[in-house]
Amino acid sequence: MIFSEATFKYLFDKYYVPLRSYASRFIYDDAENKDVVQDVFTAFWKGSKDFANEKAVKTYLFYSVRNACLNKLRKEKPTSIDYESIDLPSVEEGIIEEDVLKRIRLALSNLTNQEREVMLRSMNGISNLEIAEDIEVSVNTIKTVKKRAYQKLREQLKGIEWVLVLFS
Amino acid sequence: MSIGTDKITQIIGDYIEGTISSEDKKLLDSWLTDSANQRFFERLTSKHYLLSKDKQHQVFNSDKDAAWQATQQSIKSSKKVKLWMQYAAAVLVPLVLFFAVYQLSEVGQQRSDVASYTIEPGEQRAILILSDGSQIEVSAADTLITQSQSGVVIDLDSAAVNYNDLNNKESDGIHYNTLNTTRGMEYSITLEDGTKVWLNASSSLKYPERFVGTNREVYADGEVYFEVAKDRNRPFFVHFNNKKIRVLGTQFNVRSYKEENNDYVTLAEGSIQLESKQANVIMEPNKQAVVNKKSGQLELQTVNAMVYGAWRKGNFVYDKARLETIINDVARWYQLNVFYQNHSVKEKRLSLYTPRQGSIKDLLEILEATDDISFEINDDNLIVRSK
Repeated sequence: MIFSEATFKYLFDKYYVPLRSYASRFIYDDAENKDVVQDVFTAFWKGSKDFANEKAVKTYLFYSVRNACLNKLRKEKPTSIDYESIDLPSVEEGIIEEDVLKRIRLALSNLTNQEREVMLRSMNGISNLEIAEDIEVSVNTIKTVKKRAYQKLREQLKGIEWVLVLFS
Repeated sequence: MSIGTDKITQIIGDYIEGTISSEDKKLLDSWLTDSANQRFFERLTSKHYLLSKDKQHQVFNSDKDAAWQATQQSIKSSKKVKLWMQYAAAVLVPLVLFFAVYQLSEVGQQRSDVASYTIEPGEQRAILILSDGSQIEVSAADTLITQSQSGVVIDLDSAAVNYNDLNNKESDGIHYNTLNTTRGMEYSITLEDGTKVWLNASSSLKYPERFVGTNREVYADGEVYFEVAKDRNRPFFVHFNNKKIRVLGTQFNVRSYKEENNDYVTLAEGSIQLESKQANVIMEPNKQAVVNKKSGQLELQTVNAMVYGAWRKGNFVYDKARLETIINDVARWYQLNVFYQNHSVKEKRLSLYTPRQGSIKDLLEILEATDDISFEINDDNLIVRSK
């Protein structure tokens, strides 16, 4: 596969978010995993671009992020832990996860921001009253939002059991 | 994970969306007997994880444009250094010219009555720099055999250096040699893998005595013709002036002289991939890539590749070439300093076919006859005029 700057932009657009997401499983700090992904893209552009197809590029990028993250961990937190051996996501796992999430994201895109915020807080065990105070709406509104969100999720993601807890 | 990644991605997606087939459910169940797979699956299918990842993706997505800008910045900052060097060269060239003119006006007068100055064509000679830094001047008359550090036998004889890997022992790393020609020199070399390389005047090739590892990589400058030995397992790379050629088994000419505005790569046979910061092309035979050094812009044109490789067979061959290009080559070969009375003549197009071993007088006469230009030789200075 031969590529130009336009192709590079295309790859950046497509893989920036999945790679950040994958990197965040090694390095929690968002500012740091941001730097890692940016460095990987810079090195990728400067380096050899000899790939058979896009799948090879994708695998290469995930490997680069994994290596960069492991190097950073080793350098900044040198312990006796062998980072290779502990349960950090493999490249294969990362790719599967990001591809699944990409598909799920389409389904979740039906949720409004308010619905998403309410759902996330609710799952974190925050009560309706607290959520209501948090986002400055009434408790009844929270209940309505939850009902609507659950209905959407049940329709889109049927495989997951969505148990609505209205009163908490 | 024994099921292919694409398949398992589809199965997990189907599972979450509740559309999984009974067949795939069986596959999934068997996949989940692995405890690592099960941990992964449970995490990925938890409601909380899905929603929090979804939110995280939104956050990352909002960073994307800024990250793209920043990535471009860091790519460009590495280019800036090279730009700076181009500016430096732009300043240096006029300075060198100034001194050349100054010397011409002073020394030229004293020399005018010395009639014995003769202009000779170039010869087969080069300077070989071994990996330990020692220099050997090699010429057509020598026959010399040396054994290098990596155990490769270097056979220096009539007009060529040959590398033979006689005692096939494992190499202890890469040892680079450099073959240089100055003005009035040309030389050829057979590398350890059988690749043949011709160096025109004022050129240079850096190459390992023995290729180690999965790639064969060499560095070229000036005008160099390659006949690369086929080796499917070890791609051949030619680096020159921030560009790279990936060779897929083939013959081609690289022309990258510092004093010229463009770099030229001409493919005679096979296929090559030319890569620079701005462009990346795969070339077919009889295509020539012209890369402007300042803008980095690349143009592909169709040419007769034989013309561009003729120099290595001992001929000056040009097909409607720019006069300046021809004169540059002639000056390098006969070791002349060139002065143009009128710079517009540089753009004239001329054709030429003459042996490189002939006299400068004959060559210039042919050029004078084909167009309205005239030449004057003053010692080793060539003055170009329009009639």
